[in-house]
Amino acid sequence: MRKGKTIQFLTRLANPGNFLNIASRIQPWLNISAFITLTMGWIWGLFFSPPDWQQGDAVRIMYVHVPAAILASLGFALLAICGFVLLVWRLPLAGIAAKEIAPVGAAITAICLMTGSLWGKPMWGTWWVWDARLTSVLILFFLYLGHIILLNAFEDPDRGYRSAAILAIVGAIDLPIIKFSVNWWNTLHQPASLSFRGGITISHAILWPLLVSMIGFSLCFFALITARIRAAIMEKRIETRLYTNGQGDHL
Amino acid sequence: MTHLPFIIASYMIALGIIIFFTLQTTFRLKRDKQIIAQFSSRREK
Repeated sequence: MRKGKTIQFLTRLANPGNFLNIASRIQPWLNISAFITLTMGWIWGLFFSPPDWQQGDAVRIMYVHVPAAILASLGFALLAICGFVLLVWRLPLAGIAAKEIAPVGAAITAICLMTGSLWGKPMWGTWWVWDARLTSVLILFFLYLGHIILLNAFEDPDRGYRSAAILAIVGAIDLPIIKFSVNWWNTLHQPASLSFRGGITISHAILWPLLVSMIGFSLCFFALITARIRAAIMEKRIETRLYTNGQGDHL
Repeated sequence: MTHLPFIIASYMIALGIIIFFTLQTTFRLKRDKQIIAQFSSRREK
């Protein structure tokens, strides 16, 4: 019964008009909750969490770096899902969503790489090493860029959407490599501090602000992509109206 | 606070990118709404 309702809701959501109505209603709540949790997480992390006994205050970079790293992978997983939905069910919303997720995902991956470098310099003594984790995240960044380039490379937008969808599905192979790189290879990057099997290896005084930052960052990510998809749907409508009114030449 | 420049740079980069995307999306939505409103007012006339 519940499964049927979920499918019904998702089918309704796949219609751009319905998505626009639902997203417009939840957008203010998403924005407010993103702002409050991210501000709370960062203030907690910067001023009220204790310094690490080994790393000192540099550990505070973690409250930006770790959420960015998780969302960089999650964003690409979303791109792969959108690509799959686009290729199998040919839902136009999947193409629009992929186009809007990719730049945000690329920016978040850039945040992850830059904050990682800024954390690496004082801790490892170097900005960059060709370590398995760092290199696989850099490949993820290039995959995002490739996706953006492919989407805009064709005159026929549908060909762009399909090519980018294939890249996203094939590129998703990088996600388990990123996740397990620290276990499969001997890396300078530390292994995961939070895992379902290994439990939690960090102090609770550091864990809580990290979780709040993660929630804040995630809400911020979803608020941004929801708003971008809304804008893209409206732009499609404007484009259609201009063409139907015989003003297509102005585009 | 130790390593202050590294910490400030990390938070500023993240904040800058978030603000950039927020403003970009806000202006996009505002422009789109204005164009749609123009269409609607033209149709009413």
